Amino acid sequence: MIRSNRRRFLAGMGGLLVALPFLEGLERPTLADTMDRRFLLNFRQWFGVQQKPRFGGTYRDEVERFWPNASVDPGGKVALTRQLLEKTDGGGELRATGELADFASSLLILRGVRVMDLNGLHRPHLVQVMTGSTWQKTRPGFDPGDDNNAWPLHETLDALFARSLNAPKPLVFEAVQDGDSQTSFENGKDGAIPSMISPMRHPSEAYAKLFLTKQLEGKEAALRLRASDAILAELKSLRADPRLSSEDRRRLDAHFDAMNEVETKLQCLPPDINDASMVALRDADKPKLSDASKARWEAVGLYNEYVDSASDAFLQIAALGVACGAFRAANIVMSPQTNFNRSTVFDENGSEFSQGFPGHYHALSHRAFSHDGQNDDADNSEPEKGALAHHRIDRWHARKFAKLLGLLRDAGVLDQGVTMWTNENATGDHWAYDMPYIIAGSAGGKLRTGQLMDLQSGGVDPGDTVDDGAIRNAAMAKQMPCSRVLNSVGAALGLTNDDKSPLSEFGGFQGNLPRITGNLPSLLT
Amino acid sequence: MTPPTKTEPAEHGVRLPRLSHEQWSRTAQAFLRFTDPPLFSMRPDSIPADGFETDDRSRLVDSSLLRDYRAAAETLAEVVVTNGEAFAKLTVDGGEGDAPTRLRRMITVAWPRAYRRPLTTEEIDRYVAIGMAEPDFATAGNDDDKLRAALRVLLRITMQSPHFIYRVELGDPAGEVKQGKYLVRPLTPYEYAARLSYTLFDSPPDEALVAAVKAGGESFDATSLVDDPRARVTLLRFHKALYSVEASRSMIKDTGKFPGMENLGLDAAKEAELFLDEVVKNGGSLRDLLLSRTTFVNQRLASIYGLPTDGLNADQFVPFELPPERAGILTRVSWTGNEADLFERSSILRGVYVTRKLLCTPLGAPPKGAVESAPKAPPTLTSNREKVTYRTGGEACAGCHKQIINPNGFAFEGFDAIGRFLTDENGVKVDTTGETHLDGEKITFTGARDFMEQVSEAEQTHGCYVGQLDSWVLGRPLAAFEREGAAPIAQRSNHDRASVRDLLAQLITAPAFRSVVREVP
Repeated sequence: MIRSNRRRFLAGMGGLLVALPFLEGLERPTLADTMDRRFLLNFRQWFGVQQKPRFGGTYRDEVERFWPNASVDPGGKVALTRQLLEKTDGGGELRATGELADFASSLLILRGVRVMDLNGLHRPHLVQVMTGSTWQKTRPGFDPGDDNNAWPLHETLDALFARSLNAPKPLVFEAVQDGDSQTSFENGKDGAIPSMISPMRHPSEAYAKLFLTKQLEGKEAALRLRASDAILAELKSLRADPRLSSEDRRRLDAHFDAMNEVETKLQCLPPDINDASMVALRDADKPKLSDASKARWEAVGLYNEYVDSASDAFLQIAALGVACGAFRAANIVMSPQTNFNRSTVFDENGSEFSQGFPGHYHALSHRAFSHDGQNDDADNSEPEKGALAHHRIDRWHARKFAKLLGLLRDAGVLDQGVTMWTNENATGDHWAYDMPYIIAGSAGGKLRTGQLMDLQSGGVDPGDTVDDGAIRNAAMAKQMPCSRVLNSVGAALGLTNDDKSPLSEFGGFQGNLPRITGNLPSLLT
Repeated sequence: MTPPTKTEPAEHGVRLPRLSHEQWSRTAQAFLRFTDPPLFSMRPDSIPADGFETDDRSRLVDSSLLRDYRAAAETLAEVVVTNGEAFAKLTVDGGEGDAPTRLRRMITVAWPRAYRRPLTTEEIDRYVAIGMAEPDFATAGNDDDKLRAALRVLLRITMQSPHFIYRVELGDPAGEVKQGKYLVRPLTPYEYAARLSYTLFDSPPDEALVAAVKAGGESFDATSLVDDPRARVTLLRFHKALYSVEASRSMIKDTGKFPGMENLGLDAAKEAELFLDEVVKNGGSLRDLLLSRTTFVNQRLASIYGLPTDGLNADQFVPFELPPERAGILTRVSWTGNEADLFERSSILRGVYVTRKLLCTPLGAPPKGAVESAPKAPPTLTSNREKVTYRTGGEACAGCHKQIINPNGFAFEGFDAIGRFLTDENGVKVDTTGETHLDGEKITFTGARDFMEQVSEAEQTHGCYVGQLDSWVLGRPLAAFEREGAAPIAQRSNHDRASVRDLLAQLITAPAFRSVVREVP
């Protein structure tokens, strides 16, 4: 029975138990049998990745350490296998995407994708990644001239997805964050500009809000149950009326399903906090428990030691939530502020990184290595070491992404939805072509996973690397606009255009350049 | 009424339209005798692309909304049982006597306000039994506390009941007529009163309306209801949706090209609202909506329209007569600015709107890849019209664009991306001429005003408008047989210049509005 499968896969989350819903008497399948399990998770990294930029730029001479070690011509593709993902360059480092080798058949790695407008630095790129449209300078209440206040033109794909499913709006989990992550936006009310979805920053509070506050006990629970039983009886009575049309019955069936889902979710019980599976959540709480000063706990510096546990806790919450059906869309924003210390990044195989490393991630992305990565003005001070450190940080992110995929796979839902690893930039020097769009999960068999595809339309000409303008123009001409990738993901998830055709008209705005929409049939089954 | 054909969409079998959130709140207000509608945050409904906010197709009850209903019902139940004034307002319907007597009488008298119909004896018995079975009912020390115990559960049930959430329209079996494969059944007086009230006033019917409909029977004339100020609000909502006024509120313009035009949409939407309401208030017709030059502008809009700005400011909107190149709602800043992008007017968006929403001419979606593969206009082309013509001249595009979309859009070529009137562009005279088809006949036009004057005389324009108003009223797309049924009303709009209010009155008294249709089981 599917219901027992559901119980099993939730148990895979770490001891989670689901009591049988009380709506046993229904004369139709219960939600557990029919549940639509589509979801969209976005795992977000900051500051680009360490890759060899194809069109040049500051880091043109760096070694490629991100994309799989495969020869794929622009426009071409290759099947992803464990062997390919684990292939190194003659004993060199594993490529960052190599950390995902366990999931080769569930991956769709897309190279050759650009944002819609390559101008700007951090935020102007960031807000395009999930809207597939250029940005505006109209953040309410902020200086319109500041790129860091870049704002999207419209809602992000996750918000459209949640809205289309009439599901709760997307969640944003910020695993150690200071300032706005500008990740998920919903359309403004009454035509106002889009509004940013507020993040959840404390794993334990998020966990309690999403899973524990729905628990009721004693008298109040009994009262609610009596009311639900009476409402259910009225629904059944009305549905049995012979004067209803078939459409009426379908409507009431959906109502039944919703009741079932609500009551089932009431009993989507989390594991006990002392359960072995909840170690990340417990660890994430440590500073809060040991430090009486909440202000100090919220100070960025104090988070640093807990990046691992806070990230892991949010990964667990995200996987539990979509497996449980508690929410359909969520973003896990990894930390931009963290000092990646030896244990998280450089302590592989027992060997400590030679310099020791208290480095600051952003400065490192600019290769400011000689100043311990703490001075952004020291750009490119030691490019080779900086690049290697950035690569190690990419691999740390890759391992976290793999952990998320593992949780979803254990829960039996990895291929029911789409999980994306995205970034605000492609490289540390702010170029936003060859943006990482690492997609996992086939959305119920709708996406062609198990592939590495280069979506760039042509090779790189020598003149493309002369200066910034040339890079920008060449990339704009040859790389695939991210709007088309997002439309493809949306189409795979069952989103549609106004005329009910598979999604192809999301985003695509490029300012005064022609709008570029459409999905990519080559990505869809 | 002609029954639907077997190809009609399934929506025509729906008789469980769900209340909007506003209607839910106002029904709770009437039921509990609150002074104001209680405010709750509920999961917003999406609106179908081919429908209006009243469209019932997207009003699904999902788990998210169920949680909102439950939270609202539980909150209101607690208010009633813990607040003395609220408790008294509801229990006054119970009169005097012991708790079981008062409970039964209360359910009999008050619950019809919740369900918009009298309860059956069986329902009353069941609710009384549920209330008296509450553990606290037996242990309470006095009758008021017993009632509180009963109401705590009964109010939760009632405000989450399908009879509260939906308008249950089963029809009167006595009047059922079988027509082919279909059963056509008149609404009961209670159902008709509820449909009228929710449609026109967004509220449940009051006792007076229910009594009038019951007393009038089949001959009840609902015409005068459209004169209620609440019906004017409803018509304004309809027109704002039809003419994209809400969408225009968020229009964004490039402030480099159009300095000082930040948040232009707010002013534009305000002007449009004032205009649309003025037409309805004065008994205006569709022709007035499409041709009138009456408007209300503030300083910024006056400058865009080329009107004197002396004495005007940003906040006050004062009446003006627009220059002669303007005609009706589609020549205002709201529509012309909305059907444009940050920099440039969009002849294509304008043409598509006119074709689909003004004339109800069906248009398919562009062929896959057509937009992406459209050629870039060479820099030698100077005018927007030339560029659009060039880009849409390919084989895949020309079928719709050359004959239909582009001409309908080019009529408005004289209005730029913020709705300013243009006579020349890059030194070349703006070409607003064209030819298109109305009522199956080819026509030529010289510009927006000429175009709108001819459009306002066309049968298809009035048929399109009445059909959309009917779709708003019925809360779903029309079936072919319903469009045919509305044809005489469209003719009144065109030939008798019937007012918009009169058209609404005709629709709510038409057979389609007074009956339900479903397939034979």
